[in-house]
Amino acid sequence: MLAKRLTAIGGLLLSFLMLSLGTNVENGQEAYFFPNLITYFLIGLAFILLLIEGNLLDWLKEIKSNLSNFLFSDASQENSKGSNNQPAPSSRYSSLYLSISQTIASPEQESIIKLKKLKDEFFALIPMLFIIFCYLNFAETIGLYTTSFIAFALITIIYTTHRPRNKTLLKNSVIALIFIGFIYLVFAVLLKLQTPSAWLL
Amino acid sequence: MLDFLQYMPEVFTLWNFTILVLGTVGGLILGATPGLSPTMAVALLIPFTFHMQPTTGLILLGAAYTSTVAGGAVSAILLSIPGAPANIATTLDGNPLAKKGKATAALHYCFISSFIGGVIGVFILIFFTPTLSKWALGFGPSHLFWVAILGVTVIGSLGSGSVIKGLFSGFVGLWISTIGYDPVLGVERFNYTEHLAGGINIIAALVGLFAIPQVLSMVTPQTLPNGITKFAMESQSVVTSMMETIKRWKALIIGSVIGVVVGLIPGAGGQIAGLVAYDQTRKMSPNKEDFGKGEPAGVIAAESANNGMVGPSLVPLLTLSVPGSPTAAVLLGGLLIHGLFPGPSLFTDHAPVVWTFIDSLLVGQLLMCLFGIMISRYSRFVMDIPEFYMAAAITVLAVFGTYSVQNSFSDVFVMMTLGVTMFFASKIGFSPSPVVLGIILGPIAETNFLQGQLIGSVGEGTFNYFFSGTLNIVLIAIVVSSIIYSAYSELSTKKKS
Repeated sequence: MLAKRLTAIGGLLLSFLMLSLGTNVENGQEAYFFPNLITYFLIGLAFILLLIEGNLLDWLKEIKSNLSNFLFSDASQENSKGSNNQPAPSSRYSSLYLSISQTIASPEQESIIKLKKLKDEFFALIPMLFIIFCYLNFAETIGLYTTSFIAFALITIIYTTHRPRNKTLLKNSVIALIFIGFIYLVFAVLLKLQTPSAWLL
Repeated sequence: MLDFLQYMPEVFTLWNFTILVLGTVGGLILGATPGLSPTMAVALLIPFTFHMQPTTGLILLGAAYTSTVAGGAVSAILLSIPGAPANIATTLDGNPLAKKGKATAALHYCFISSFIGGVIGVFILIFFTPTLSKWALGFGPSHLFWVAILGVTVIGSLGSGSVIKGLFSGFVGLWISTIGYDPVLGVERFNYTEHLAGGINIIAALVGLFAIPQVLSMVTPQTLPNGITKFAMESQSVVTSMMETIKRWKALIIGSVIGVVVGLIPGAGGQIAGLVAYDQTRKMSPNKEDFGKGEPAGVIAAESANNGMVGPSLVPLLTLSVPGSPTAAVLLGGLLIHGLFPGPSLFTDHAPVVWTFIDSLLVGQLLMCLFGIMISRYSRFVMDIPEFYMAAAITVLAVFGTYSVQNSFSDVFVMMTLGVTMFFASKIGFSPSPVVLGIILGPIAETNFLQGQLIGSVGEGTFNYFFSGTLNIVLIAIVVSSIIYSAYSELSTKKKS
């Protein structure tokens, strides 16, 4: 439920962001009519997502019951206990925080496992994202074919399943060279692709 | 009407047939390369036709058009990356089939159904050209707007298993398509970085949204539900595949008919044909729940539809100079280069050229099927390549494929950004298909919406223009019933589970 609710809230926020981008414009307001129309549909869909998949009604009921517990039962407790025996305000607020956070999140075991898996995947992705970032940013300076060769070789060397990794270094570099040779043949020789002028090929 | 038989021997002259074979094989290879769409393949081949006879040149372009549409299914099935927008629906069941070790069978279904759909489409082109061209011309901006919306709502019900999430993704795609210049006023919108100056290129979006999440998931630890890492590859004879395809005749008929109808509508394109056919086949199937998990009928419907639209998309082109698809628009350029001006007189003034071209489309379908089936034999080699090599190769191919569209590195940045974002969005249940379709159909929807608004404002009023008339009502009814039916199916599936 946590993931679904957060997704729906994220969708709603994204829709409002899109709407603000389309409405806060200086010139050519007319040109934003169609994108804004789409955004209204997006807001509606995000709201339905929150209503159906995020169980909005149950969520509101839970919040309402928590709030009424907080407002009325504590007050009745206060009355019964008298002015000399007041509950500590901190415990009162922490119980409210606890109940609301449970209502919002209700982190089931499944969600926790999913979150852990996502974290593992993200860490496994960091080298790949770094290679892609460098590949795109240096391709125009160093050369598209050269950076492609480096990117191919690095990806295969880092993510190879063969161990020890250093033994695959030469093999993967040769495969990278052959593959980039093929790419050069197709794009540069056959299709006459104009690549950005750079230090190397 | 039987002129096509008279000119058939022309296709089998040594030079014409050689060009037809080369065009078909080249088209299959170009189509299978992510980023190289049929439109681009035909555009790339036009300069080669300069020094050819008009008939030979058109045979080359026609063969490339036919086979790139089918070739796009190879990467859709093996890598889950559609070679062209027309193959988006093929990924939905084709790739799950390949993952189950049935890649060869999936490719057989694809080429056999492409052949059957393609032949039906070419016969429609031969026999019904004059009648259908008049019907196709009846489509105005309001109808095309509803056709685009139908495409978005259809994919909404297919992509992620949640209708609302699918629709949401589709509308996000529509919004993304509005980045760049407004098609009527020419005002630049949402241009916050130089990379967005020209808007979002469709091929960049297609490659990014399909290829990059695939690459990223290849380098993250994955295990199949039953603990194994990979299914064993199964081989299947062509005869068995033929019998299996014919057994699913309903999917074939639905796909071919929808392909023909959508092909005739100028501007609609193969992507709508494939998706609508897939959706209708799923809805009419008794085992709906198998769709998306590797149901052969899904591949058959999508492929018979996207090849079925090839012939009919040439009907308005050859008779009225109105191209039925973006590739047909490029073909129009090819015709004009050779001094052939489409119109009613084309079939009388240049009968030998036109009829030989149409005949070559028919023979090309058969060659495409034969060569496609031959290629299918080697699918196991692609599936056996270790994933880290595939990840590296797809990354480089995605960069080159996107860059080559308009020699722009901005497209590559956009492709990568969309891809990485889609990877994380897929983790919370969003699918790339609706987003891509929204981006593809966005310009069609917006242009026709704005044109309709202008027409409506000087006549019957915008609301009446879009919501009256038989064709509008029929299209709106299909859109609404598609959403309602999908929501109902989702609810009943949830209840069952």
